[in-house]
Amino acid sequence: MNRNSFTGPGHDDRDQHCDLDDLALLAMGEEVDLDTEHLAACGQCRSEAASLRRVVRTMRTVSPADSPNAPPANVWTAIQQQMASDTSSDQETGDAAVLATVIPLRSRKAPWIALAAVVGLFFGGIVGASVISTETVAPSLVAQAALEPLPGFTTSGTAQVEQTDAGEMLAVDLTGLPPAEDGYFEVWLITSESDSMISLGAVGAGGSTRLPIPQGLALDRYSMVDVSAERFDGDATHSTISVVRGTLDT
Amino acid sequence: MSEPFRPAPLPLSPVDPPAAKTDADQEITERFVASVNGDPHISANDVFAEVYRRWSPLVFSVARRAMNDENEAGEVTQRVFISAWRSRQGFNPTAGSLPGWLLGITRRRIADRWSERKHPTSDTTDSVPEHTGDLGPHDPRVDQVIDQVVLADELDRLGPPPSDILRLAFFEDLTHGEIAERLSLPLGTVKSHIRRSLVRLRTRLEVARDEP
Repeated sequence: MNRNSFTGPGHDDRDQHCDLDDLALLAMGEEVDLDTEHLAACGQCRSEAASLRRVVRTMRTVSPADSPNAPPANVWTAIQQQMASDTSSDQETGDAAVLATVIPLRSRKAPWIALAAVVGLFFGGIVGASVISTETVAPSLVAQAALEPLPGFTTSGTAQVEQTDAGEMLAVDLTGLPPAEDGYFEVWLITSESDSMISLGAVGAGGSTRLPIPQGLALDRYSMVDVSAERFDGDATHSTISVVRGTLDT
Repeated sequence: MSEPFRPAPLPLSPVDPPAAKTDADQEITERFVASVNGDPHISANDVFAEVYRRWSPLVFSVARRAMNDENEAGEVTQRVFISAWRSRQGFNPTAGSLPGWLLGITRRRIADRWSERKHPTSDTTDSVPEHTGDLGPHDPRVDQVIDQVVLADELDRLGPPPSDILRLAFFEDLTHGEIAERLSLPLGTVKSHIRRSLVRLRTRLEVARDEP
């Protein structure tokens, strides 16, 4: 159904509608050889040309820089957090509450990122040196992250990737965990693009755990350590309630 | 035991084939409506993540242009999607489109931010004077920004060759004859791509303005 002009009753060869491609070129401001007499008389062709011209006029104000970009990843994290806390408190709220509870995105974590970069450089150097000079003896630190509380929590802690004889392990130490009511806390590694995640296991009593990292997992991709609050509900997926998060300085 | 590995319902960059774009938007809308209506086979969170993935770049980019500040645009985007999540029961697909609804919320959240700038509760004095005057949700400047971002989005999503053809036409001011020569395409092909793309851009503008 590739229409090249309007069709309909009441038109013979002498009263042919304008070619639609030509009307589009006309709207683009090009010089087109078309039946101007018909165009002047035909409301259908005129309105088509006019509506395309409006599109062209707006397009002329568009610049390549107007291409939409995705918002930073922390925007979605904050939205998910709010969705999760809405679900858990199970109450409908209005716009006023949205304004009141919105999580400020400005300047969060910025000082830590700078520090992490410095620490990363420092340990990167040490690890590089130690890998060369020692055959596997004691666990060596491969990467680490400070775990910072997500809104609604006051838990914090550290995560460290250690190279051991048994492969890489993730050691998580948390302080200030809330009491786990009918549930537990689970450790995840999430990609920096947040498009994939892997569960490593549960946090033990006292907030510490040491979990094997599957061999072959690309830690530079799965660089975000996340600890979630889970219920004993048989659902193996992430509850979307994250307690702490931090990015490994891989 | 937990499953060891699974994809998460979190934002990815769009990779849909260009031809399926409109259908894909329609499909997301239908799933969103089904999840709101309590379809037990659809996870409301997963669908909302899809909605976010598809339309958050539009919302964010409109907000960035309106606020002229990345951080504030992030906050507006956050507010828009939290508002959308909380009022999702109120979306009526027969009264308007899903992007139209989201962009309607975007207008209101931008208007909120602008009025907060005018009546700051805390110390937010940087870069205020640009937006003064009486600014409601239907400020024509926001309308214009929305139109521009919607068109730029669709231009990206047209895919080659139509996107290349339109870019040459609009950003380099070439005639269809010059474009045909540049891309070694038949004149008729270029002409019909121009028409079909303009029609699609027109549809996009209509959908975006279709606020319930």
